[in-house]
Amino acid sequence: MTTQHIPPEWAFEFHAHECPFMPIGYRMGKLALTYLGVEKEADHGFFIFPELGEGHPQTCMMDGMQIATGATYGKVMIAKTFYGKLAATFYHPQKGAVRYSLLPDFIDAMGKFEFFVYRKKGVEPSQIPLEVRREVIQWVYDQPDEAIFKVESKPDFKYERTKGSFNKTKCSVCGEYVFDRYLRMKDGQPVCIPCSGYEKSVLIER
Amino acid sequence: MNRNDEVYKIGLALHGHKCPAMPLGLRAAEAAMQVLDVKHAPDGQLTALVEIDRNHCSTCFADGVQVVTGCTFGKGNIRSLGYGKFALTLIDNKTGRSVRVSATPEAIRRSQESEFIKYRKQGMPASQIDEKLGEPLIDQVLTEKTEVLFKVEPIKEMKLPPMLPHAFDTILCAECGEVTVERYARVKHGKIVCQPCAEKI
Repeated sequence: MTTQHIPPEWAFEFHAHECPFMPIGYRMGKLALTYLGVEKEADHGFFIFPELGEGHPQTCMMDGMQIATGATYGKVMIAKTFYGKLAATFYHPQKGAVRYSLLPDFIDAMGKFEFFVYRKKGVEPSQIPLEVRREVIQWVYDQPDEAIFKVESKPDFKYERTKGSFNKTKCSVCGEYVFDRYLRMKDGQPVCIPCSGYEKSVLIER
Repeated sequence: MNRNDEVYKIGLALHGHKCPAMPLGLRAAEAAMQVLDVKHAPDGQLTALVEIDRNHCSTCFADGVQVVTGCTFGKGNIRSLGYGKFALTLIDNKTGRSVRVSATPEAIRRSQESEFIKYRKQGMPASQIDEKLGEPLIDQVLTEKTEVLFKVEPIKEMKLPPMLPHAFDTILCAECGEVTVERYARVKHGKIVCQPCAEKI
C-alpha cells in the first residue's frame, strides 16, 4: 500500500457502495489539506470547486472530497463547475488555492480493470462482484501520488461568499418559513418561490 | 434516534460540527424513508430534492439527508431546488413514489430561538460554541415526535426525467491535455477542447 490516505469505514457506509472514485477523491482532499497546511474544516472556511459534471462515474470522487475535508454539500462549500473534468480546486481564504487533476495515463491504466467492463454494461457499482471492485481499489491504493495527480498552485484564485442570512418570514400562502432573500411579493403579500408561481420550471442544476 | 446512534455519529464525522440542522435532516430523511418504505440507496435508487439554497442558515439539513438516504453529492442524486426552505422530497426512482417532508414552523422556531443560533447570528463558528449550549436542542431534534418536527405530505407520483446514461467516453483537451468527459467537450477553431480552454480567447 503506497498511500496512508485510505477512507475510514464510515466513509464507505456513507457513500454506500465500494468504487475506486470515492477513495481517489478522499486522497485528493487529504493531499490538498496538507498542501494548504489546514485541518479538516469544522465550519464554513474551506471551499472546493470540482470540475466534474453529472452522469459520469467519476463524480463519486466528490463524496471522498466532502468526507476528507469537511467542505460538505450541506454546508454549501462544494460546488461543481460542470466542465466534465477530473479535477478540483481547493480554496482556503487565508491559505490560498491548489488544483488537483487526475493524470491521463492514470485514467487510461485504471480504465483497463474489469470494474469498468461491468460499469459500461450499465451494472450499478453495488451489483458488481466485491472482488472486482476491491481489485481496482487496491490498485489505486498502490499507486504513488505523483502517478495519479497533477498539482498546481493557484495564487490568483479568489472566491467570495455572500453573507449568510438569518432573517425569515412565513409565506402568506403555505405558511412555511422562507429566508428573506428568497421571498417574492404577490398581490402585496410575501410568498415563497413555489407559491408565487413565478418560476415555473424546477431548477435542479445546483 | 439519539446521539449514540451510528447514523448520528456518521453525520457528525462528515459534517464536522455539532448543530441542530444536520440532525433535523437525519430525522426528515428517516421520516420520508419510513413513509415510502425504502432503504438507504447504495447507488442511484433514490433521489432527494432538498429546498435549501446557499448562504443561509441551517443548510446543514442537507448533510443529514445525505447520510440517511444515501443520496449524495458525489453520486449526484441529491439536488437543491434553491427555495430557501427546509424540506425534503424523496423519490423512489423505480416506482416513482415520492413524499415531501417539511420542517414545521415550530421546529424552526425552536432552533432560531436557541442559544446556539444566538451565537451563530453574532458570527461565531458552530465549532467554537460551547457544546453544552447546542446539545439540549440536538437531543430534542433527535427524539421529538415526527409530527411535531415535520409536515408529511401524502405520497405522490413523481417521475423525474431519466438521468442521462453514464458516460464513459473521454477526450484529451487539445490545449491543456487534460482528460474531459466527451459530453462536456467543446470545439474551438476545429480543435476539441475542454470548456475552460474554449472560453480562453
